[in-house]
Amino acid sequence: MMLSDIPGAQVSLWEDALPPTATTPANPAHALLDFEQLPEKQREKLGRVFKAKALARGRLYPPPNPPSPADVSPAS
Amino acid sequence: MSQVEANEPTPEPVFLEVTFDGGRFASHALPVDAAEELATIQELIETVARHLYFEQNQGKKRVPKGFLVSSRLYLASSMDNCFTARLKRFSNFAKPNLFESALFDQACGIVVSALLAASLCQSLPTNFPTTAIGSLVTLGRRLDDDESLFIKKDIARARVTQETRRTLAAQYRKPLERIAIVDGEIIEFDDVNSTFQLLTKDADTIEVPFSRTDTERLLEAIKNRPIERVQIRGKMTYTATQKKMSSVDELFITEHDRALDIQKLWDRLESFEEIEGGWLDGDGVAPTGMVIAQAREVISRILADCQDIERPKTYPTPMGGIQVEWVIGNWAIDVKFSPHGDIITADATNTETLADKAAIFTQQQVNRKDATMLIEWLQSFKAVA
Repeated sequence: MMLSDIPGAQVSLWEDALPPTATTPANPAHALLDFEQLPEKQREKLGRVFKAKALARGRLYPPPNPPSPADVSPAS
Repeated sequence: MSQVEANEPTPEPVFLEVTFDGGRFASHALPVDAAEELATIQELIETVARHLYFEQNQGKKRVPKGFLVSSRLYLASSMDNCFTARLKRFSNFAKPNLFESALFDQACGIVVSALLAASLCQSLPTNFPTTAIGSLVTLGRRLDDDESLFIKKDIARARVTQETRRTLAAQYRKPLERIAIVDGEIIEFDDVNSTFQLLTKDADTIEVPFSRTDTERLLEAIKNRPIERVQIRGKMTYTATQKKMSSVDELFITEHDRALDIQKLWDRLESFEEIEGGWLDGDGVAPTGMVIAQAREVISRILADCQDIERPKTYPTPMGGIQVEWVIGNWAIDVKFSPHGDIITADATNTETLADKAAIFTQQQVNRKDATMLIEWLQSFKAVA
């Protein structure tokens, strides 16, 4: 998600870097959006917009798998 | 003349032409089951001829021997258009005096006149026997809505369509019968009377009899609706107040086009049954069986009735309800099923303008049988930027 998706949204942003686990790599870009100060309806509204925009954008981090380098055959 | 030559049928002129026109017949071929109409024509002419015989032979109580054989019609050839059947009578098989008499020609003429009168919404000829009205209404029961029969006897012609049949049946208060194929979902099951109610795509409800041997798979079809549907071929009877299948020739259980999508939804919702109270860091209430069932029924109905609404994302809510999410165009949409199953709240926000739309639906308005109001609400976002 990107805070810039909703300019003027009254949410707080906190860094929340994630360490690696047995099944996932570290995610130093992970962050939290804090909606707690907002009324429930406003929280729901912002939540659905942030999610829809994030889904449309796709994953930014970690970046999608880069294309494999071309195979280089060993010299015969 | 040899014995074989003596027994060959004597060629006779065409007695009657019947053209099958439109629909399935446009490929210049006749589906075998539609050929039954020719047998109905034969029966009609035989009934009228019988009536004429007794009229012309007062005091007689029985028709002469060979009467039935004389009344038989044979499909002699077909013309290369839609499909025209040329029917003949063969003198070789009939009593000479019966064959040569004008009785059957006269009967045929009366039948064609009656069909012409019916097509023009006029009264039947006075010499048309009331005992033959049932057969007259039966003629054409195998026709589809876009098909017709043209019947030609010498210069007299008449046309039979489903519309002329309906008019005739209504005029003489006869039940209208059609051989039809219907497709739908079972909505009610009566084990005592061995009937079920079928809801078709056109929102018709049809009563259908079933045989005991089909009970198990029909009960399975009810449990798995709308994934499982029933397709039936049989005789439909239409009265002023009811539409029902009076007999079933074939019954198949079929799968909805979106069976895979609906099954994935069911699998996802079924996983919510494993959620225990205290989920979500101790604060979450587990969704009840009732709200899971309600969400399953309503969303299944939406997916089954509306091809262009995608399978949504589904989540449990901390309060014990279920939330269902779509993105349609620029609109992010949440539909929440309340924990008590009494209301469905729907909220949508435009991701560009941040405009909001909301709606609330009761269980009476949106349910397993009918989710039209919610479908229309969702589809409204396709038209709005």
